[in-house]
Amino acid sequence: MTERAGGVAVQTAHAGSGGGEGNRRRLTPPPRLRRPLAFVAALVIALAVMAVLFAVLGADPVKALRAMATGAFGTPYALNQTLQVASVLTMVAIAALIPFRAGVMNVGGEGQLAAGATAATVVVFTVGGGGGGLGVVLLAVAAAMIGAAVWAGLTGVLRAALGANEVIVGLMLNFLGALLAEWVIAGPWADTLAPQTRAFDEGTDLPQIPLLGGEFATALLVALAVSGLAWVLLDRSRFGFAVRVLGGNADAGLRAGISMRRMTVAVMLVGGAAAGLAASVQVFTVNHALIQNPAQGYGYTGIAVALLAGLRPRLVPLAAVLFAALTVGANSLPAVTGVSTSASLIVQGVFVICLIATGAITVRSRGAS
Amino acid sequence: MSQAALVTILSTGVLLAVPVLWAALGELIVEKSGTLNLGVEGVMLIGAATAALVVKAGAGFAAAALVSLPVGALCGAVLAYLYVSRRTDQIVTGILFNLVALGLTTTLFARYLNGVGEVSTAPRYAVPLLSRIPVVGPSLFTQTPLFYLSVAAAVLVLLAVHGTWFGLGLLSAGEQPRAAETAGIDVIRVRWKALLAGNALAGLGGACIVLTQSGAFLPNITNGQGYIALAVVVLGRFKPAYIVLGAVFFGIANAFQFQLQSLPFAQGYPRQLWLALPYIATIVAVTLSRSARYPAAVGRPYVPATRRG
Amino acid sequence: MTGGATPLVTMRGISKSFGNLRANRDVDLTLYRGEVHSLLGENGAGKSTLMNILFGMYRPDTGRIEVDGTPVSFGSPRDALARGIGMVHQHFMLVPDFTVAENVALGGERRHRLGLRRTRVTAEVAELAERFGMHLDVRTPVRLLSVEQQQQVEILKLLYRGADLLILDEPTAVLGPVEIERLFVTLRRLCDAGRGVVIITHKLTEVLSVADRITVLRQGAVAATARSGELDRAGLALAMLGRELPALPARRPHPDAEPPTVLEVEGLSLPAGRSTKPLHDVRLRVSAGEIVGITGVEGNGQTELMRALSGLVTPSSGTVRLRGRDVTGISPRQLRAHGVGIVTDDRLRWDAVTEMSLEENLALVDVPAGRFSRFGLLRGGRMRVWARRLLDDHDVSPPDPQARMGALSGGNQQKVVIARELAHGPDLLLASHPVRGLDAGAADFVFRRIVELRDRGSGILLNSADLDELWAVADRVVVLNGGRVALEGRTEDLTIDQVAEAMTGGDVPSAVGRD
Repeated sequence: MTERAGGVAVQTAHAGSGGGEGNRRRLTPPPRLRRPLAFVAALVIALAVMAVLFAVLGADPVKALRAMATGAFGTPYALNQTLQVASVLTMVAIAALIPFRAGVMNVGGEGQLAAGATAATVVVFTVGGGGGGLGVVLLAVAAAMIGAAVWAGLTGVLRAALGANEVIVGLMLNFLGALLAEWVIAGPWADTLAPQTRAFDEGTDLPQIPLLGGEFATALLVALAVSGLAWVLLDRSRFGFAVRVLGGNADAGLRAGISMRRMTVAVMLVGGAAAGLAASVQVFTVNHALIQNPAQGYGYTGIAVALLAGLRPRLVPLAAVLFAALTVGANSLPAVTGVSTSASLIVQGVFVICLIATGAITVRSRGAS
Repeated sequence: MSQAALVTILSTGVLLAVPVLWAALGELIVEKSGTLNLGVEGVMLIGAATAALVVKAGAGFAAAALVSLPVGALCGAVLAYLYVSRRTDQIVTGILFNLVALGLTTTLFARYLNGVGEVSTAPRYAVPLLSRIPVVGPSLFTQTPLFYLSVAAAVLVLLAVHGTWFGLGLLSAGEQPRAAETAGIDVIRVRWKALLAGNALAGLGGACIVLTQSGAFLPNITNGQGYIALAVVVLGRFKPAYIVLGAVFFGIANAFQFQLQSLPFAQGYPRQLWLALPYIATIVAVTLSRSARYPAAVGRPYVPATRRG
Repeated sequence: MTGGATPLVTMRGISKSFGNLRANRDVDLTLYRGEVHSLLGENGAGKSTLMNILFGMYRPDTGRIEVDGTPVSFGSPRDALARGIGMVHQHFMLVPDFTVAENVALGGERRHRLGLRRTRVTAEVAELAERFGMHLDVRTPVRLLSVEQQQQVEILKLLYRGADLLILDEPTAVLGPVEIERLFVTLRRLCDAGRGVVIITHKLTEVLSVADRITVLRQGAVAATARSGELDRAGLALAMLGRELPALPARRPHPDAEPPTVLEVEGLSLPAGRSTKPLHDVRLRVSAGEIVGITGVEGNGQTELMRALSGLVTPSSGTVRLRGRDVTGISPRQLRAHGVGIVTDDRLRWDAVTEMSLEENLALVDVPAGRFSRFGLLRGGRMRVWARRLLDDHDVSPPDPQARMGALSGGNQQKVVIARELAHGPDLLLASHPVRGLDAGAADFVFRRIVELRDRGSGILLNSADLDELWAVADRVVVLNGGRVALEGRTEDLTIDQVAEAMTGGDVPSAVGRD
């Protein structure tokens, strides 16, 4: 009996007793200390890789680390920025996490962010004429959620209805999302100087919540609400129950009467909506315009954040703060050490790969297990 | 369309196909052994940066191409350790590897490769006689050696996979690893070898981008060509000959897109629409080739029976 | 027979454990050239483990192995093959898309170095097949071959590598009587050519007809060794089972009135799939308060029949009626709503989600159907109270609703599944191999639950390969052979011989004692 999974034909009834034995092996509970130890080991390896890299590039690793810490938390401005990025990363991570828990790979966060940001911008310029009050902004946020959900849903539908590989389709839609934004930028609302649209009118903002005086407050609260909702959705709702059954064992889903196809589309739509919210935060509190490549790699970092959180929504904000600190802190690297900000991507990636390789977190996508 | 335009499209198309072709041939070997390697994108990126560094250091184009092979194999070793020995999830690992590769190459770019100095690409060689055939000559037989070599490589891969004992073992590891193991094949070893060889070719593919197209490295210069290579493997139904055709098809689609932009009728349409063509074509390709049969065990980490007891 | 010569293989003091399971304990075994050695034992007696050790798949915990008088230590099948020991597994180890020649040649690369030399290899394989009387087109992909031919390919694989000892694991399980005869002729021919053969089996008839020497395993240890003719059927059975042939327990007396029919299946058919067997025109009936056993040689449609009845696959024709209502092709969830409990043959594939908690596994079918939730939100409190009661009732350890399913032993997992499927007091229970792989305590518990369910008036369809099991609890037995009903009758009217004959026989005998 073969089943198409992740665009990959996977033999489910594996000839021989091998599969069964493999399953039984997975059941042995790991000793209590294994995961924490693996976590520490992964952290040490990631730091070591970073130290070696900096040494090779001729920078002092300790100085670099200190520069990153200061850059991320040292000033109120830095803290503000870190929390803002963390908010965006939280929501993008949730966008990857929900489908992932059902065994569906959403690697299209990058494209969904771009599509959401573009949709929001279009609303601001067409409905609000380039700016507007709360009404226009809320409409734009809704448009961003719908736009991103459509972008994600495309992948879901192609997967569910036509069996297309959701990973390749998702990745291609990332490039197409960036082109979509570029096209809108090149349109009638283009800025005369930078490759972006004109800035929105003053006051075209998310509702301000006076907390610690920063713009980040609204974004942060929205992000926390999204991760809380995701937790309720996954752990406390009937929908989440179905998601977890499919993610754990798609055949048991059939046994329990859960439709794999419908759920594939549903989780992508929900995930896309979360990415759309992230895009609105990015547009209305950070850029106040549609910029070239609006996702800025957050779509990929979001996947890493979701994995770092062990695919548990409640831990996502914490993981997001860590990776946001690395991302924002890295902005100080060029000035202090002469190393590019991109070095933070290496640390993030190596850290999460080590977590997976040491078994500190377990992931199993449908296409690769 | 004039003959000159046709020649330009074909010749540019073939040029653009070369990196994808190398990467796709490498990925073919890897997938035949039972591993799905999304990391091919990152390996290409690292190969491209390597080539740029070697050229910058003053060595020639040939040296740059040659160095990208072991560097690609080194990436393959890292990936093999993760996919095969640690049995990590292949899709997630591949995506994360690409993130690291992007960070690494961009960092290297900022430190060593910034400031596009000496932009130059490898020279083309006209094949005697054949290059004088109208249309076909200038498009197919006036190319860089890396193109001729890639076609030769496709033939070699075909022979290696279907005409050697190693190939038979490779196919069995990807189809029915348990059967392979009982026949005495070391599945783990075979998959390691495939990842080393396959990623060496992917590294060379990345190098081709710098050596034959751009002449210099730029951050994220691969722009999804690794993923397109993955699609080409499926579209080519895992057959080297079809993969050559698939890669050239994508190359020509890309060249066509460049050419279209300069035509009068294209002016009415946004540039991004043409730029989107290769990506849309990829989506259509993977959707259409969903019936292509992957090697039965692809994407599934193998636990040797001898290690269970 | 050359029984007196130097042994081909000597195994001494072999022990092997998997976790808590002691698969082999202190086993001695001696094998000779020119002999068919039969390794006899019940399912789980440790026969396959012992041979997998000899074939290098597993390393023994203790003990030593000698081949031709030289001590050996195999780290992989490759090592064993190099010393002339080959094994045909019960589930064939063939690459479906490879041709016969490719499958046979795989792994033998030292013969011709790098180049495959397809024509030469093909000719060699064809010649070898010819020599041992196998009629095979060696250029055909093996997925197109019959099971018998695939088995021949497996044997050829070993001969091509010059194996001196051929181990065959349950070689007759997949064959009909005619094919079995042909296989035995081939094996005899191999012995005449100086090879040694081991066949692993649990069938007495075969042992008596083909073996030169017999070793009986029981619970991982050697229960008897004998030369052909030294032990008769009863003696072998005693050694194998540790007791006389199963005594018939007092089953429930016939009810005077005809009980109502719960399940009625008519003309059920299913085409063969890529790895599944077909069903042909299956008809059966289960009454209230009755346990009906389904049995047969593995791979004769039992699995497919149970799956079709469970709604996991849709039959191509035929009807399934539940208390007179047509339920053909409805989903497992709908079947549950109609009062059907389902215990599939593959717990980890169909019945359990190991990453989820016990309470969630207990509610696996109920929650998607709308139970334990309001406005789409789960009512965890209610679910927990309900789960705790079920866990207590079914003696699950640990009785913690929030424990992870995967952390439980197989026996406790099965109790959770049984608890879920019996929780609604089903009219019909479809149970496949419900105690396979369980320890004695858990197995006993599961059977007591099933019998209790019957006593309350439910119908039970029990798929089992274990005739003892069926004889102990089943009121009627249905034997499937080749996807057809080969025999059906009241258990007390049937003998084990009749059932065994129907399982492997070519002709379909008329039903005995039909009521």
